[in-house]
Amino acid sequence: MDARLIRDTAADGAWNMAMDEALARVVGETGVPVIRFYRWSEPTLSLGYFQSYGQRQSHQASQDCPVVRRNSGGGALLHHHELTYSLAIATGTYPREQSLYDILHGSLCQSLANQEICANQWGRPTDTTRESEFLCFRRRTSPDVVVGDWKILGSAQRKRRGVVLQHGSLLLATSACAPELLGIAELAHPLDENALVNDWVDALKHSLNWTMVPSIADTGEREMAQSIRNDRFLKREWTERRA
Amino acid sequence: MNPETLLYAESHEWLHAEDDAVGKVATIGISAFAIEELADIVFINLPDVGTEVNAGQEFGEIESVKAVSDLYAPVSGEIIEVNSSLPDNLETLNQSAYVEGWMIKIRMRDESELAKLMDFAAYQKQCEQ
Repeated sequence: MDARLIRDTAADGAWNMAMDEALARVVGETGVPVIRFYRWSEPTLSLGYFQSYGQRQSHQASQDCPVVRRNSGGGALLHHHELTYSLAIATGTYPREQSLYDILHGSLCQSLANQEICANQWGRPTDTTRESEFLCFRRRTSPDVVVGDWKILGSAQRKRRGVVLQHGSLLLATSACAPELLGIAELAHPLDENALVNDWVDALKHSLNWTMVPSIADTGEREMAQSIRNDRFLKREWTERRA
Repeated sequence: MNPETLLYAESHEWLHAEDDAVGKVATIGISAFAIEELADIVFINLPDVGTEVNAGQEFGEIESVKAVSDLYAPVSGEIIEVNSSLPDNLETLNQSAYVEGWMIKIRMRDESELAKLMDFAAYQKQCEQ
Protein backbone atom coordinates (compact mmCIF):
# COMPACT_ATOMS: atom_id res chain seq x y z
CA MET A 1 0.00 0.00 0.00
CA ASP A 2 1.14 3.54 -0.75
CA ALA A 3 1.21 6.05 2.08
CA ARG A 4 1.93 9.77 1.92
CA LEU A 5 4.90 11.04 3.89
CA ILE A 6 4.86 14.74 4.73
CA ARG A 7 7.84 16.37 6.43
CA ASP A 8 6.36 19.70 7.35
CA THR A 9 7.73 23.00 8.53
CA ALA A 10 7.11 24.48 11.98
CA ALA A 11 3.74 26.17 12.50
CA ASP A 12 1.56 27.47 15.30
CA GLY A 13 -0.63 25.20 17.38
CA ALA A 14 -3.93 26.00 15.72
CA TRP A 15 -2.46 25.33 12.28
CA ASN A 16 -0.84 22.07 13.36
CA MET A 17 -4.06 20.74 14.84
CA ALA A 18 -6.09 21.95 11.86
CA MET A 19 -3.73 20.31 9.36
CA ASP A 20 -3.94 16.98 11.24
CA GLU A 21 -7.73 17.22 11.10
CA ALA A 22 -7.76 18.20 7.41
CA LEU A 23 -5.53 15.26 6.49
CA ALA A 24 -7.75 12.90 8.51
CA ARG A 25 -10.76 14.09 6.52
CA VAL A 26 -8.89 13.54 3.26
CA VAL A 27 -7.98 10.01 4.35
CA GLY A 28 -11.70 9.42 4.92
CA GLU A 29 -12.23 10.10 1.22
CA THR A 30 -9.12 8.58 -0.35
CA GLY A 31 -8.22 5.74 2.03
CA VAL A 32 -4.52 6.60 1.49
CA PRO A 33 -2.74 6.86 4.87
CA VAL A 34 -0.78 10.02 5.64
CA ILE A 35 2.08 10.32 8.08
CA ARG A 36 3.29 13.81 8.88
CA PHE A 37 6.25 15.03 10.93
CA TYR A 38 6.20 18.58 12.17
CA ARG A 39 7.44 21.10 14.73
CA TRP A 40 5.93 24.05 16.60
CA SER A 41 6.87 27.64 15.85
CA GLU A 42 6.62 28.71 19.50
CA PRO A 43 6.27 26.89 22.83
CA THR A 44 2.60 25.92 22.97
CA LEU A 45 0.42 24.19 25.50
CA SER A 46 -2.12 21.75 24.08
CA LEU A 47 -5.01 20.47 26.16
CA GLY A 48 -6.64 17.07 25.76
CA TYR A 49 -10.12 17.10 24.26
CA PHE A 50 -11.88 16.66 27.61
CA GLN A 51 -9.48 18.58 29.85
CA SER A 52 -10.71 21.63 31.74
CA TYR A 53 -9.28 24.90 30.51
CA GLY A 54 -8.97 26.11 34.08
CA GLN A 55 -6.56 23.30 34.90
CA ARG A 56 -3.81 25.14 33.07
CA GLN A 57 -3.68 27.52 36.04
CA SER A 58 -2.08 24.68 37.97
CA HIS A 59 0.96 24.70 35.67
CA GLN A 60 2.89 27.88 36.35
CA ALA A 61 5.76 27.39 33.92
CA SER A 62 3.50 27.42 30.85
CA GLN A 63 1.30 30.38 31.87
CA ASP A 64 2.64 32.63 29.14
CA CYS A 65 2.38 30.04 26.36
CA PRO A 66 -0.42 30.08 23.80
CA VAL A 67 -2.88 27.26 24.26
CA VAL A 68 -4.75 25.06 21.80
CA ARG A 69 -7.26 22.30 22.48
CA ARG A 70 -6.65 19.04 20.62
CA ASN A 71 -9.23 16.76 19.04
CA SER A 72 -7.57 13.84 20.79
CA GLY A 73 -7.77 12.82 24.40
CA GLY A 74 -5.24 12.51 27.19
CA GLY A 75 -3.32 15.05 29.20
CA ALA A 76 -1.76 18.40 28.37
CA LEU A 77 1.43 18.69 26.36
CA LEU A 78 3.98 21.45 26.27
CA HIS A 79 5.22 21.46 22.69
CA HIS A 80 8.64 23.07 22.47
CA HIS A 81 11.78 21.02 21.90
CA GLU A 82 9.96 18.11 20.37
CA LEU A 83 9.34 16.21 17.18
CA THR A 84 5.65 15.62 16.54
CA TYR A 85 4.17 13.01 14.26
CA SER A 86 0.64 12.40 13.10
CA LEU A 87 -0.77 9.41 11.30
CA ALA A 88 -4.19 9.42 9.68
CA ILE A 89 -5.33 5.99 8.57
CA ALA A 90 -8.60 4.31 7.68
CA THR A 91 -9.67 1.64 10.14
CA GLY A 92 -9.26 -1.83 8.74
CA THR A 93 -6.15 -0.95 6.73
CA TYR A 94 -3.61 -1.93 9.35
CA PRO A 95 -2.98 -5.21 11.20
CA ARG A 96 -5.64 -5.74 13.86
CA GLU A 97 -3.44 -7.94 15.98
CA GLN A 98 -1.20 -4.97 16.79
CA SER A 99 -2.32 -1.55 17.98
CA LEU A 100 -1.24 1.57 16.11
CA TYR A 101 0.41 2.68 19.33
CA ASP A 102 2.59 -0.41 19.39
CA ILE A 103 3.43 -0.08 15.70
CA LEU A 104 4.49 3.56 15.95
CA HIS A 105 6.11 3.32 19.36
CA GLY A 106 7.85 0.00 18.74
CA SER A 107 9.39 1.28 15.51
CA LEU A 108 10.54 4.44 17.29
CA CYS A 109 12.34 2.35 19.92
CA GLN A 110 14.20 0.50 17.15
CA SER A 111 15.18 3.81 15.56
CA LEU A 112 16.40 5.26 18.84
CA ALA A 113 18.51 2.14 19.37
CA ASN A 114 20.32 3.01 16.13
CA GLN A 115 21.49 6.14 17.93
CA GLU A 116 22.44 4.17 21.02
CA ILE A 117 19.49 5.34 23.05
CA CYS A 118 17.87 2.61 25.09
CA ALA A 119 14.13 3.25 25.06
CA ASN A 120 11.26 0.85 25.47
CA GLN A 121 7.50 0.80 25.90
CA TRP A 122 6.37 1.08 29.47
CA GLY A 123 4.44 -2.16 29.07
CA ARG A 124 2.47 -2.13 32.31
CA PRO A 125 -1.24 -1.44 32.87
CA THR A 126 -2.35 2.18 33.10
CA ASP A 127 -1.07 3.76 36.30
CA THR A 128 -4.37 4.93 37.75
CA THR A 129 -2.62 6.93 40.47
CA ARG A 130 -1.33 9.27 37.75
CA GLU A 131 -4.53 9.47 35.67
CA SER A 132 -5.40 12.95 36.86
CA GLU A 133 -1.94 14.46 36.28
CA PHE A 134 -2.25 17.61 34.17
CA LEU A 135 0.67 16.83 31.89
CA CYS A 136 0.53 13.82 29.57
CA PHE A 137 4.20 13.15 30.25
CA ARG A 138 3.47 12.63 33.96
CA ARG A 139 0.90 9.91 33.17
CA ARG A 140 1.70 6.31 32.25
CA THR A 141 -0.11 3.93 29.95
CA SER A 142 1.21 0.69 28.56
CA PRO A 143 2.34 1.87 25.09
CA ASP A 144 4.21 4.97 26.32
CA VAL A 145 7.89 5.07 25.39
CA VAL A 146 10.24 5.60 28.31
CA VAL A 147 13.95 5.98 28.94
CA GLY A 148 14.38 4.55 32.40
CA ASP A 149 11.27 5.83 34.17
CA TRP A 150 11.05 9.03 32.10
CA LYS A 151 8.38 9.18 29.44
CA ILE A 152 9.74 10.54 26.17
CA LEU A 153 6.90 9.75 23.75
CA GLY A 154 3.19 9.98 24.35
CA SER A 155 0.47 9.62 21.72
CA ALA A 156 -3.28 10.08 21.56
CA GLN A 157 -6.01 9.20 19.09
CA ARG A 158 -9.21 10.56 17.69
CA LYS A 159 -11.49 8.12 15.87
CA ARG A 160 -14.10 9.55 13.55
CA ARG A 161 -16.06 8.12 10.65
CA GLY A 162 -13.78 5.21 9.95
CA VAL A 163 -10.53 7.15 10.30
CA VAL A 164 -8.05 7.06 13.15
CA LEU A 165 -5.95 10.14 13.72
CA GLN A 166 -3.04 9.37 16.00
CA HIS A 167 -0.53 12.02 16.92
CA GLY A 168 2.34 11.96 19.35
CA SER A 169 5.16 14.02 20.79
CA LEU A 170 8.76 12.95 21.13
CA LEU A 171 10.44 14.99 23.83
CA LEU A 172 13.84 15.96 22.46
CA ALA A 173 14.97 18.24 25.30
CA THR A 174 13.69 19.96 28.40
CA SER A 175 11.77 23.19 27.96
CA ALA A 176 11.83 26.10 30.38
CA CYS A 177 8.04 26.01 30.02
CA ALA A 178 7.90 22.49 31.52
CA PRO A 179 11.17 22.13 33.45
CA GLU A 180 9.95 19.12 35.41
CA LEU A 181 10.21 16.95 32.27
CA LEU A 182 13.45 15.58 30.90
CA GLY A 183 14.02 15.00 27.21
CA ILE A 184 16.32 12.70 25.28
CA ALA A 185 19.14 15.27 25.34
CA GLU A 186 19.19 15.20 29.14
CA LEU A 187 18.54 11.47 29.53
CA ALA A 188 21.04 10.32 26.88
CA HIS A 189 22.45 12.71 24.30
CA PRO A 190 21.13 15.04 21.59
CA LEU A 191 19.60 13.24 18.63
CA ASP A 192 20.38 13.41 14.96
CA GLU A 193 16.77 14.24 14.22
CA ASN A 194 16.96 13.82 10.48
CA ALA A 195 18.50 10.37 10.80
CA LEU A 196 15.90 9.43 13.38
CA VAL A 197 13.00 10.33 11.11
CA ASN A 198 14.61 8.41 8.22
CA ASP A 199 15.10 5.33 10.40
CA TRP A 200 11.60 5.61 11.88
CA VAL A 201 10.02 5.84 8.45
CA ASP A 202 12.06 2.84 7.28
CA ALA A 203 10.97 0.79 10.29
CA LEU A 204 7.34 1.74 9.68
CA LYS A 205 7.61 0.78 6.01
CA HIS A 206 8.69 -2.69 7.02
CA SER A 207 6.20 -3.26 9.81
CA LEU A 208 3.24 -1.98 7.76
CA ASN A 209 4.46 -3.14 4.35
CA TRP A 210 3.94 0.36 2.98
CA THR A 211 5.62 2.35 0.23
CA MET A 212 6.19 5.87 1.53
CA VAL A 213 5.58 8.50 -1.11
CA PRO A 214 7.08 11.92 -0.24
CA SER A 215 4.29 14.44 -0.36
CA ILE A 216 3.17 17.91 0.65
CA ALA A 217 -0.24 19.19 1.63
CA ASP A 218 -1.81 20.44 -1.60
CA THR A 219 -3.70 23.70 -2.05
CA GLY A 220 -7.08 22.12 -1.28
CA GLU A 221 -5.76 20.55 1.91
CA ARG A 222 -4.17 23.81 3.01
CA GLU A 223 -7.39 25.69 2.37
CA MET A 224 -9.31 23.10 4.36
CA ALA A 225 -6.77 23.38 7.21
CA GLN A 226 -7.06 27.17 7.13
CA SER A 227 -10.81 26.94 7.41
CA ILE A 228 -10.66 24.44 10.30
CA ARG A 229 -8.03 26.62 12.00
CA ASN A 230 -10.24 29.70 11.82
CA ASP A 231 -13.54 27.99 12.62
CA ARG A 232 -12.36 25.75 15.43
CA PHE A 233 -8.84 25.85 16.77
CA LEU A 234 -8.53 29.64 16.98
CA LYS A 235 -11.96 30.02 18.55
CA ARG A 236 -12.17 30.75 22.23
CA GLU A 237 -15.40 28.71 22.43
CA TRP A 238 -13.41 25.68 21.31
CA THR A 239 -10.36 26.25 23.48
CA GLU A 240 -12.41 26.95 26.59
CA ARG A 241 -15.26 24.58 25.80
CA ARG A 242 -14.72 22.87 29.13
CA ALA A 243 -14.09 25.56 31.67
CA MET B 1 -31.40 -7.20 27.72
CA ASN B 2 -30.15 -10.22 25.86
CA PRO B 3 -27.42 -9.16 23.39
CA GLU B 4 -28.54 -11.90 21.00
CA THR B 5 -31.91 -10.21 20.47
CA LEU B 6 -30.54 -6.71 19.81
CA LEU B 7 -29.74 -4.90 16.58
CA TYR B 8 -26.31 -3.42 15.89
CA ALA B 9 -24.72 -0.62 13.86
CA GLU B 10 -21.35 -1.01 12.15
CA SER B 11 -20.02 1.60 14.57
CA HIS B 12 -20.79 -0.80 17.49
CA GLU B 13 -23.92 0.77 18.96
CA TRP B 14 -26.64 -1.68 19.99
CA LEU B 15 -30.33 -0.91 19.73
CA HIS B 16 -33.46 -2.33 21.33
CA ALA B 17 -36.76 -1.14 19.83
CA GLU B 18 -40.10 -1.34 21.57
CA ASP B 19 -43.53 0.21 21.13
CA ASP B 20 -45.10 2.66 23.51
CA ALA B 21 -48.41 4.49 23.28
CA VAL B 22 -47.07 6.96 20.70
CA GLY B 23 -44.77 4.91 18.51
CA LYS B 24 -41.43 3.15 18.49
CA VAL B 25 -38.73 3.95 21.03
CA ALA B 26 -35.13 2.80 20.53
CA THR B 27 -32.87 2.25 23.53
CA ILE B 28 -29.21 2.61 22.54
CA GLY B 29 -25.84 1.73 24.05
CA ILE B 30 -22.50 0.39 22.87
CA SER B 31 -21.55 -3.27 22.68
CA ALA B 32 -19.42 -5.17 25.16
CA PHE B 33 -16.97 -5.78 22.30
CA ALA B 34 -16.57 -2.02 21.76
CA ILE B 35 -16.18 -1.41 25.49
CA GLU B 36 -13.44 -4.03 25.69
CA GLU B 37 -11.68 -2.55 22.65
CA LEU B 38 -11.79 0.93 24.18
CA ALA B 39 -10.18 -0.39 27.38
CA ASP B 40 -10.19 2.04 30.31
CA ILE B 41 -13.00 4.51 29.71
CA VAL B 42 -12.41 7.83 31.44
CA PHE B 43 -15.10 10.18 30.13
CA ILE B 44 -18.40 10.19 28.29
CA ASN B 45 -20.35 13.10 26.92
CA LEU B 46 -24.07 12.52 26.24
CA PRO B 47 -26.59 14.87 24.59
CA ASP B 48 -29.50 16.77 26.10
CA VAL B 49 -33.04 15.43 26.07
CA GLY B 50 -34.92 16.98 23.17
CA THR B 51 -31.99 16.84 20.73
CA GLU B 52 -32.96 15.70 17.22
CA VAL B 53 -30.58 13.27 15.51
CA ASN B 54 -30.41 11.64 12.11
CA ALA B 55 -29.23 8.10 11.56
CA GLY B 56 -25.43 8.09 11.37
CA GLN B 57 -25.08 11.42 13.16
CA GLU B 58 -22.90 11.83 16.25
CA PHE B 59 -24.87 11.94 19.49
CA GLY B 60 -21.98 11.90 21.96
CA GLU B 61 -18.33 11.15 22.59
CA ILE B 62 -16.43 8.69 24.69
CA GLU B 63 -12.83 8.92 25.87
CA SER B 64 -10.69 6.01 26.92
CA VAL B 65 -6.99 5.91 27.66
CA LYS B 66 -6.63 4.89 24.02
CA ALA B 67 -8.78 7.36 22.08
CA VAL B 68 -11.63 9.81 21.85
CA SER B 69 -14.37 8.25 19.71
CA ASP B 70 -17.70 9.52 18.48
CA LEU B 71 -20.97 7.77 19.29
CA TYR B 72 -23.40 7.53 16.38
CA ALA B 73 -27.18 7.38 16.38
CA PRO B 74 -28.26 4.18 14.58
CA VAL B 75 -31.70 5.68 13.83
CA SER B 76 -33.30 9.11 13.40
CA GLY B 77 -35.59 10.83 15.87
CA GLU B 78 -35.81 12.83 19.06
CA ILE B 79 -33.78 11.94 22.12
CA ILE B 80 -36.41 11.55 24.82
CA GLU B 81 -34.29 10.14 27.64
CA VAL B 82 -30.60 10.15 28.60
CA ASN B 83 -28.88 7.90 31.13
CA SER B 84 -27.65 10.85 33.16
CA SER B 85 -26.05 8.68 35.85
CA LEU B 86 -23.69 7.05 33.35
CA PRO B 87 -21.00 9.79 33.14
CA ASP B 88 -20.45 9.53 36.90
CA ASN B 89 -20.59 5.73 36.96
CA LEU B 90 -18.49 4.65 34.00
CA GLU B 91 -17.80 1.23 35.52
CA THR B 92 -21.42 0.44 34.66
CA LEU B 93 -20.39 0.10 31.02
CA ASN B 94 -18.07 -2.79 31.87
CA GLN B 95 -20.46 -4.36 34.34
CA SER B 96 -23.70 -4.12 32.40
CA ALA B 97 -23.26 -2.97 28.81
CA TYR B 98 -26.73 -4.06 27.71
CA VAL B 99 -28.88 -3.10 30.69
CA GLU B 100 -27.59 -0.45 33.12
CA GLY B 101 -25.14 0.83 30.49
CA TRP B 102 -27.77 2.16 28.10
CA MET B 103 -27.06 5.69 26.91
CA ILE B 104 -30.05 7.27 25.20
CA LYS B 105 -33.63 6.59 24.11
CA ILE B 106 -34.79 7.89 20.74
CA ARG B 107 -38.39 8.29 19.63
CA MET B 108 -37.96 6.98 16.12
CA ARG B 109 -39.07 8.92 13.05
CA ASP B 110 -38.65 6.11 10.53
CA GLU B 111 -39.10 2.47 11.53
CA SER B 112 -37.72 1.31 8.19
CA GLU B 113 -34.23 2.32 9.40
CA LEU B 114 -34.21 -0.76 11.63
CA ALA B 115 -33.87 -2.94 8.54
CA LYS B 116 -30.45 -1.37 7.84
CA LEU B 117 -29.00 -2.63 11.13
CA MET B 118 -27.29 -5.97 11.77
CA ASP B 119 -28.61 -8.82 13.84
CA PHE B 120 -26.40 -10.44 16.48
CA ALA B 121 -24.95 -13.06 14.13
CA ALA B 122 -23.98 -10.49 11.50
CA TYR B 123 -22.47 -8.24 14.16
CA GLN B 124 -20.48 -11.11 15.63
CA LYS B 125 -19.11 -11.77 12.16
CA GLN B 126 -18.07 -8.13 11.82
CA CYS B 127 -16.26 -8.28 15.16
CA GLU B 128 -14.35 -11.38 14.11
CA GLN B 129 -13.06 -9.80 10.89
